Amino acid sequence: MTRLTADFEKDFKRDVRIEGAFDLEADAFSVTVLFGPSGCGKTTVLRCLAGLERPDRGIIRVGDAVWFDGTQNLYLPPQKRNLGYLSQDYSLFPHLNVAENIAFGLKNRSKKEIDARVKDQLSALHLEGLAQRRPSELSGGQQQRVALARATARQPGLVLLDEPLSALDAPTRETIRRDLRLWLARFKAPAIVVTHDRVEALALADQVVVMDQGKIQQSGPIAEVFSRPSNVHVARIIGTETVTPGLVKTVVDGLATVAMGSSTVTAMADNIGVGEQVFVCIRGEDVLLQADRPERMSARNCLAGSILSVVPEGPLSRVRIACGFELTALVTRPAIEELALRPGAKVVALLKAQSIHLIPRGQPNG
Amino acid sequence: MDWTAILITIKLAACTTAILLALGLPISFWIATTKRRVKFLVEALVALPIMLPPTVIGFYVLVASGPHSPLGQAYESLFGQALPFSFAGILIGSVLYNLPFTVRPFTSAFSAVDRKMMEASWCLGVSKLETFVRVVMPLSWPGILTGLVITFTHTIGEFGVVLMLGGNIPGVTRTISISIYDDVQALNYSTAGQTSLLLVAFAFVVLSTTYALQKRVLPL
Repeated sequence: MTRLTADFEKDFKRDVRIEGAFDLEADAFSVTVLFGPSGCGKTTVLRCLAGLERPDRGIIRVGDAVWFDGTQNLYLPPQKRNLGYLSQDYSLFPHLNVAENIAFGLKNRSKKEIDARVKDQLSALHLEGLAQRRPSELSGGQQQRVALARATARQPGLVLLDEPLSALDAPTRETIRRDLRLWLARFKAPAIVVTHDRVEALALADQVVVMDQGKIQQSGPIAEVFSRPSNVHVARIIGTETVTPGLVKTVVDGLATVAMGSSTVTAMADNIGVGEQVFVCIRGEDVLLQADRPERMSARNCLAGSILSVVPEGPLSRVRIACGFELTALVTRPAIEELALRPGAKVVALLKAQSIHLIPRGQPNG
Repeated sequence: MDWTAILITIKLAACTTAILLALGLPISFWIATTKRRVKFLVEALVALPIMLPPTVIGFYVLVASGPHSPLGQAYESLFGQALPFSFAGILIGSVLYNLPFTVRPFTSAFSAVDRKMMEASWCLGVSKLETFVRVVMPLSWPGILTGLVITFTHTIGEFGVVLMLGGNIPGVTRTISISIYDDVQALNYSTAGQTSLLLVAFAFVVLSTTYALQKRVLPL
């Protein structure tokens, strides 16, 4: 098993330092999302991996191949790294048509092989019939897919995507967001995706690296990082306290029943189908806590559970509740005292269906 | 009209343009893409002939290539002929004098190519040189063409540098503009007028064709 390991730093003027660290399986599919607010240095980290920027110190290696070694002054140009890189604005070659763009990096192959490869890419990304078009004659979504087809045509060992969906209009973004993970899964290669969009991160990522001001704040499996931020800083960047995988059981009248852990919740079903794997996202301030189960109410979800922990964070406290899954609520200090919330205490959590956000995740195998 | 002078002029313009194409591409690409601080010095050096009178350039080339300079001696021992008052001499002067007229349009054409296009190509495994040929050149050729046309046309009308370096040797260094000057000196106004009109017509046709072509082809 080959691994891609990276641990490097790049300096900028005025004492700004950007760090990057990865440890991925290099010959298997996985998506690592580099997540953080705009301007935090995510793109720089990606460019260092691509070989477009040179780090100031550290190391990047894939298996036995060293891409960068600060101590030995070793630096491999992008041409020698066998990667697929997608910049934010796609950078399609305007003077070449779609087929020529896709074939651009295919070298040392017969014309027949190249044609076959281009055809494969066109059909995999639903671009049939567009082969002869110029990039300027394509919609944003089509351009994005052509750029992806071009970046992956050589079957690269590492796919790097910089804000792949940010240049798209909202409806197109939603469609492509669903498919992107499936497309990437066709390659036995890790993908690293830069995004500042929480929904995008949840839809795509296996692993997430949260960055802020050039520093890596936390990294790990996405559900774990998003539901257990290691510090207030990360929690603020992520902005959602509960993130748990779930499975859509039924969809009736626009409401979905989602099984998560040992309980089920009712959520709004926007563009969600039965049997779909989703991430269930709940913001801490949307969770209402009560001592007893109410008789009648408008909120569709009433979950009984026991408190795992209460951690004060400024005027609010972060209350973790075990209610079939782990739910985090943000409540005020007076509320904590009034309800006598402490670890082990029984509590009922109320949630409106509208407060539960479902993010579908494309599944590679069915 | 002095047809020999016209032929010499066309030969001088064609050679100057060809040499400046070869020289201008790397210099301009370097200026357009480098992040080095010395760039402004190179830019200033290249642009110098715009500010200087051609006689100054001619003077320095004359001194540098004369029989008393190491450069002139080296040339003479290599080719058995002195550089000044030869075709090669006016060619060197012409190349130096026209450098900015080639490099400036080239540089602005290269600068207009989004660096991300080049990066995309590199990340597809394509070498820097091949990227230049397959991405940069196709995207900047209208600017390259403009630079070449301006250089060619500009050389056709060359006067000061040629006079300083080449003197006025019929069949060797006597160009159109010098023949016009001679005609005027000899009060031969009708021949001077014909030749001048020919130059005006040539310059206008070339420039208007270039601009017309550019407008049609530029929007990719």
